[in-house]
Amino acid sequence: MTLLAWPAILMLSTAAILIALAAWRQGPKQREVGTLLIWRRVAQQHQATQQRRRNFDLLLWLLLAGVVVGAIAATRPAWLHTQDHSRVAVFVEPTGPGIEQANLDEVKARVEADLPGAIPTFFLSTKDGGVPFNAVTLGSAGPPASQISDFERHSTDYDARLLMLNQPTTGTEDLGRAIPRLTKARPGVVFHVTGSVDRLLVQASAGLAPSVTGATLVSSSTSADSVSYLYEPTGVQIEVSDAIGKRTYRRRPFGVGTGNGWTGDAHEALLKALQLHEPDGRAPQVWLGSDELKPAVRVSAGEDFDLTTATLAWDPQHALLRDLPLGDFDWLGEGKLLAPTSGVQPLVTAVVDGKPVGDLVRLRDSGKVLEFAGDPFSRAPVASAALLLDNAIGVVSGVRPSERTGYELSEGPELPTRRQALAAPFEPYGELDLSSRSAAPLEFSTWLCLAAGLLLLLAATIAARKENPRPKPGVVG
Amino acid sequence: MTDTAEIFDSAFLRQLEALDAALLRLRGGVGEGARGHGRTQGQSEFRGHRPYSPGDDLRRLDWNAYGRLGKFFMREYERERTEHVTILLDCSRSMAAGTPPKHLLARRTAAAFGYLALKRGGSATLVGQPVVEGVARFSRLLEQLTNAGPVSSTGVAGQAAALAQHGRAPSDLVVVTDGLEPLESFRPLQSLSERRTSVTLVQVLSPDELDPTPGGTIELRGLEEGEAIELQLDASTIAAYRAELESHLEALNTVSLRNGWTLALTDSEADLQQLFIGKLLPAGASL
Repeated sequence: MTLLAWPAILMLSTAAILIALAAWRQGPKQREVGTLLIWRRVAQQHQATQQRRRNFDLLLWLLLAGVVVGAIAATRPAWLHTQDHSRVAVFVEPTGPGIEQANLDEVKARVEADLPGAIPTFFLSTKDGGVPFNAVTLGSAGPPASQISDFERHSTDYDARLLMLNQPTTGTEDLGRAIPRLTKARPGVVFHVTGSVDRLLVQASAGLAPSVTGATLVSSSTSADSVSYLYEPTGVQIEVSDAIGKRTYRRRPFGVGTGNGWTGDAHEALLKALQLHEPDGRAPQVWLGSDELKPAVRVSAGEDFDLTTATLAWDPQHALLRDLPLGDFDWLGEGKLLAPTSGVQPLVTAVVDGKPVGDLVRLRDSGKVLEFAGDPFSRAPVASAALLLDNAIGVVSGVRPSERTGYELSEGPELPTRRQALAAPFEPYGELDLSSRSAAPLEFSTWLCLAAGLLLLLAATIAARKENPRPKPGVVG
Repeated sequence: MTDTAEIFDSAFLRQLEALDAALLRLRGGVGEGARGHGRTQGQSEFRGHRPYSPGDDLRRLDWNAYGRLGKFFMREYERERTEHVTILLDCSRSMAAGTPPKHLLARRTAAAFGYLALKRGGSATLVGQPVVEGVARFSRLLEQLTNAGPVSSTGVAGQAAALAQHGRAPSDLVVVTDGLEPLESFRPLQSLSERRTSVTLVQVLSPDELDPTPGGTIELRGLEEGEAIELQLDASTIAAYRAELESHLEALNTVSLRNGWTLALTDSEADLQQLFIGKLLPAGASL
């Protein structure tokens, strides 16, 4: 339905008015007169005029024309107009970030050169960003199968389909002609970067090794179409350069917040040793020394207590104490003790005469708060204190700073998908038959409706302006 | 059969009495010799007696004759004997047209002429019917008029021709018609005029005949002819009709003047006072 449909329908509704007027005009058109003596003389004078009027009754002809045109319109006639040029829908699969613009221009030139006489319409994914020429944007930016399905729905009215794919794709054989998106493979395009504290894995297309700084190549392995490189990071920042551009990766930061009791030099030294930083606008993963916020590691939380005769009791399998050189820590020397209370999990307990008198280290608030009666971090050797802090943060947050994985992209283009990075020429498949140009139906019933409405409106106007021939009741001439 | 009371109801009869009184007032007196004109004016010598009829003017009752004979007799004068009106009523089908129908006023007009004649001691004859004498027999005239409906194919011409062939021409002839006939139809009347018949022609037309309304394409069906013609009744056609009607009326008027007829044209909506006092009397009708 076009914009003209509703006005046409509205105008056609005047037929109802016309019918009402016609019905109103119906009735006896006879009039009795005493004698025709005078009227016959008048008729002789007007015979020629009457004959002309009888032959051309404008209202009748308008009504007839309106009804005929309206009836023709109701059959929804259409011209079958054969297109001068084939209309080809061209699906252009994205090749990845950073290279769309140049490639799309090249794609357009290729299609126009390969399909002379055809009118291509390009369908692009929204992920391609700005569309460089007149093209249809597909709503889907998902995987290729989703985009192709979307393209299939949008291109049913076209004479043929051309798919420019990164790789041959199952299910597109009967859709149209599939040709390579790229005319040659791109060597050394990185499509995967992942790493831990001591390892960095980089995967790229074959042909050219990426340039990596901030890490040392440990090994590499080659598969059918890609190469995997294993690096050992030498710093917190790694730069990876390939055919697309340069990307900078940083180890994912571990943000901590500090509060009361965490202000000494020893504390600062521990943060540096574990590469812990104040978070940049993000919520800290752990609070150190805070009395209120969670998860938290709190120190000097105990009261003075005579521990000269006390001994220690602990759970050596607990994550806090595992692999920890307990001998480096003077748990009792500060004379601080956490009074026994319910709802807590003692980890290190002071025992006097075989009886526990209080806690030196314990967990509370469902394991989200780790309390130390004294401050073992400032009195122990840095290495041991760092290990204790690493364990303590791991207990309350679930992740030890030393075990945090991965690097994150801090600068440079996003990585392409594996399919995009490994895009390469392939043998075209599928059919592109341009010989059977479709005949586009050009329906014009709306225009006919409009014409019929106008005719009937005109007839209604004329009918309304005509004098009613119905005689007045009881009047007989 | 139409009932007499439908056409000549009590209101009509009161109109007749009022018309009679009004005419007497306009004539300036009551009694013999004070009315009439033309050939009968001044002719009032005693002619004889006739039996009394209920309703007769008691002032002309002959009391001497009653004293001698014990019966009532009315005195008759020569002038009254000549005051005989002959009524020719157009009974053609065309008289049924109009609203109100033309024949209604035509028959009432005829009745009024007869009543006035009878009331003045005269007599009245509806052409083709027995003479009616005495106002007491006015009802008989009304019955005759009631039966004279617009169903005949014979118009004025036939009846006038029959009158002309009659041995004695009527002295006063009142013709009530719509006059919508060819002028040739009035030739028998001309021959009567040549035989010293005083002709009063009352032409009754319906309002729509005088001023037809326009109204698109109309099939006009003539009651007289039983035929129909189709016409576009627009303004130009109506104007042409008016011109033709006026031409016809003018021609009839010319014929009337040439033959000394009294002619009055009225529409069928008029009442008797308007017709007799407003038109017939000024036109010189013998009333």
